[in-house]
Amino acid sequence: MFRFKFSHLATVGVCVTLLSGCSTTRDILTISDVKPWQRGALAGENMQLVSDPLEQGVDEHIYFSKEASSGGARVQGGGCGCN
Amino acid sequence: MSTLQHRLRLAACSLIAAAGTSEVQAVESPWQVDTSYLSYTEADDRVSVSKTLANLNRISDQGVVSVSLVHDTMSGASPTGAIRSSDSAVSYTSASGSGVSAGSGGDYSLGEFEDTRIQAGLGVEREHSRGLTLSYGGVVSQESDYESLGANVGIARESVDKITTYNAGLALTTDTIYRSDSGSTPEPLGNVQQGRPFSEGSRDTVDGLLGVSRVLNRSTIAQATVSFGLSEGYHSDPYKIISAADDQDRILANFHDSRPASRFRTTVFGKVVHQIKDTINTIHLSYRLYQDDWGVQSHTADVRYRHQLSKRHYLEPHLRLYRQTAADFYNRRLRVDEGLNPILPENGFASADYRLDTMTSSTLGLKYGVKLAASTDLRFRVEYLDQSFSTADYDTNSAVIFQTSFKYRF
Amino acid sequence: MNTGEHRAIKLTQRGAVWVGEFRAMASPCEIQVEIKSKKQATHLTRLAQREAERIEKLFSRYRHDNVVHRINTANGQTITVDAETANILDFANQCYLLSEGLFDITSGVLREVWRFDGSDRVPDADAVAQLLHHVGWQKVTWSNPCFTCPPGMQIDLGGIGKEYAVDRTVAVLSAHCQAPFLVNFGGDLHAAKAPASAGSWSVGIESVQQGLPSIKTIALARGALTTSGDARRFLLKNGVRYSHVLNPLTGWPVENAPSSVTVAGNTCTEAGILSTLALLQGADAEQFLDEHGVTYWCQRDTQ
Repeated sequence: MFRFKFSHLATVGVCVTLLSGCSTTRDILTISDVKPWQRGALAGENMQLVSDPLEQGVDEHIYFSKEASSGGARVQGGGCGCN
Repeated sequence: MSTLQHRLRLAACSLIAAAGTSEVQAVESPWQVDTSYLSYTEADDRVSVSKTLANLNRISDQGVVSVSLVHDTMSGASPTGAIRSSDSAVSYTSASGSGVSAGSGGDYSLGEFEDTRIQAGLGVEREHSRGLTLSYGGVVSQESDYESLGANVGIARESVDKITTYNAGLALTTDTIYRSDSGSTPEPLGNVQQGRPFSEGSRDTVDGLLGVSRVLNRSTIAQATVSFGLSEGYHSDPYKIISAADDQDRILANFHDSRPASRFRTTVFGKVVHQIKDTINTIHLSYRLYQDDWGVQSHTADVRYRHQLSKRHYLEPHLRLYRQTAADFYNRRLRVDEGLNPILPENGFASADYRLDTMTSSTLGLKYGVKLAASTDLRFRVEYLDQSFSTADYDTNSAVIFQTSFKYRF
Repeated sequence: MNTGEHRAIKLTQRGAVWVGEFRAMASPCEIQVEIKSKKQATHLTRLAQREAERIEKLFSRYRHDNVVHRINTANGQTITVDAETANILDFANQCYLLSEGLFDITSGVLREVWRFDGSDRVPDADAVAQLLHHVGWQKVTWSNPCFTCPPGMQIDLGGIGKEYAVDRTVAVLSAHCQAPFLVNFGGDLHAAKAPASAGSWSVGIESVQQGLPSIKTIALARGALTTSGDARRFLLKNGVRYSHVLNPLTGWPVENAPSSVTVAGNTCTEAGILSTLALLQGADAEQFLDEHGVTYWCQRDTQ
C-alpha cells in the first residue's frame, strides 16, 4: 500500500514557482500586438491549447468517473457508467 | 553566419532540391495514427482498468476526418456508499452476479464488478470558408450496464488577423442505464433487501460551450470558455447504496441511491500556454470553476511544464489540484428515529456515493516524450492520483496510472 | 542577342569557355561552360533555355495559362497548386516570417499606383492606403496544397522567380555535365564549379552610373551573386528620390536605400532575398548586412 500526502508539498511548490517566476508571470501577462511573422514559436505542437488530445481524452474520462465535476474545455458528448 | 542567412540558406536549398525530385506528394503525411495503452490501478485492490486506445486521423485538403476507438476492461470492487458492517467479515457481492441481496448481516460496502467497455467515435472537421471551421462528430459507447450515444457540432471563427478565434459547440447525449444483473435499475430509495427492480433508466443531456482563444504576445496563447450542461432523466447510480444507521453505525436498513431527475452544470474555464523566454520550454496553466444545481462547486488547477532536454526528448511534470463541495443530498448515512425507523429525506433524494462528498484530489505526474524519427513519437507517463473525502466511509482513494503512447504519420 | 526568333540562341567561344546566350524573363541570359565541344555547349544552352522558359511560364504575371493567373483571378476561391508551386509558396512563407513581413509576395498590387519611370508622379497617400488593404501574406490561407487569396489580392513571384530559375538551371545542367559552368540570368548568377583554366570566374559589378566601367571585379570560384537596386527605376519629387523597392508594411518606397546592393550567397535564391531585404532597410542597409555577416558590395548615389 502506498500513500503519502503531497498536496501540501505541491501547494508550496506552486507558490514558490510562481514567486520565483515573476518575470515569467510578467511575460505571460504582457499583451502585445503580435504580427503573423512573430508567431513562429506559437506553431509548435507543444504550444497548442490541447497538446496531447489522446491524453486529454483519457484524463477527462478518469476524472469524470472519480469526481463530481465534468466538462469545461470542450463538449463532446458520450458518457459511461464508470464506478 | 547569422541565423537569418543560415535559415534562408536552408530554406533555399530545400526549395531547389525539392524541385529536383520531380514527384513530390501533395500532402506529405495524410494519415496519422496515435495508439495508447493505459493501466489504472487503485490501491487496496480496488478498481483496475486496462485501456487501449487508437485515434486515426486522415488529413486532406478539405479538413480532418478522425476515427477513435477505445477498449476498456475494468474489474475490482468500489465502495457502494453503504456503511461497512462491523459485525461480519468483509465479503464482496457481485454486481454482475446475483445482486447485492446476499442475505441479512452481509456487507454491502463494496460492490464487485467486472466489465468491458467499447467506444467508437467519428469526427469531421472542415474549413467551410476562410477562417470558418465547422466540425461534427458522433460517439457510441457500450458496456454491459450502460449504453451511450452522443453527437456534437462545433463552429470556430478566426479573426482576419488570425489573433483571435471564437468558437461554439453543442453536444447531445442519450444514455441508457441498467444493472448488468437485472437489466433494470432499482427503485430509487427502495430497500436493498426487498430488491424491487424498477425500469431501465434513461437520460438525455445537452451541453453547450462558448469560447475564445487569443494570441496575447509572441509566446503566449490564452483561452477562456463558458459552458453549461443540462441533463434530464435517470441520474442515480444503480449500484450505489445508502445505509440507515444509528449513531453507533449499526445498520438498520440499506437503500438504493436516489438523485434528482435533472442536473444543470455550469463551468468557466481558462487556460494559458506560454513559451518561456529564450527557451523552447513551455508551461500550460489552466483553471476551472464548476458549479451545479446539486450544490457541488469545484475548483481545478492544472500545471504542466514541458522541459525540452533536446530537440528530440522532453520531460513534462504535471500537477493537478482539485477541490469540491458535497452535493446537497449527499450523506454518509440516513439517520433513524427513536423507534429505529429510518428517516427518509423529504425530497426523496439521498446518496452516499463518495464522489459526491466534499473532496480534495491531487495528481502528480511525469511524462517523457521522444521523437524516434521525423514521423514517429513515443510518450510514457506515470501519474499518481490521491483523493481524500470528508465523511465517506472509505475516506481515501489513490491510484497509479501508466500510459504508453505511440504516434506515427504516414 | 535576340534575333527576333523566340528560341534563338547564340554561341561564342572565349578562350577555353563557350558562352551560350538567349533571352528569357525579359532579360539577357547566358551560360558559360568550360568545355571543348560546341555541340555539347549548344545542348547545354538549350537545356538552360528550356528551364528558364519553363519557370517563366510557370510564374509569369503576364500569362493566362499558369498557376499565378489562376490564383490571381480566383476571387476568393481556393486553388489547389502543383508540388513545385507549393514549394515556392512554402519558401515565400518562410521568407515572410524570417523577414518579419518585409518580404511579401502579395505586395505586387502596389505597382498599380507606383510606376517607377523616372518621373515625379508620386501617388497620393489615400490611394496607397486603399491598396494596402490588399497586401499582406498573413491574409492568405496557405495549407499545402490549397491556397486561398482574398478577393482583390494577388501574388507576384517576380521577386524570386529569376533567382529560382538560375538555381534550377544549375541543378539541371549539373545533372548533364561535369564541366565547370556558370549561369547568369539578367545579372543574377550562380557558378557550379571553378574553371580549370582561370581558377575562378571573373564577375564585374556594374556601376550604377551609366557608361562607367565596373566598380569591382570579383573572383568567384563557386556560389551565387545577385544585385538589387534602382539604378534606372525611381521617382524623383521635391528632391526626394523614391526607390522602386516598396515596403509592403507601409506601401511606400524605402528612403535612402543604396542604389545597388550585390550579395554573395550559396544560391541565387538566398542571395536575392538578402539583397532585397538589405534595400528595404534603407539607410541601414549596410548595417543590416554587416550584422548578418553577409558578403556584400553596396553602391550609393553620390549625385
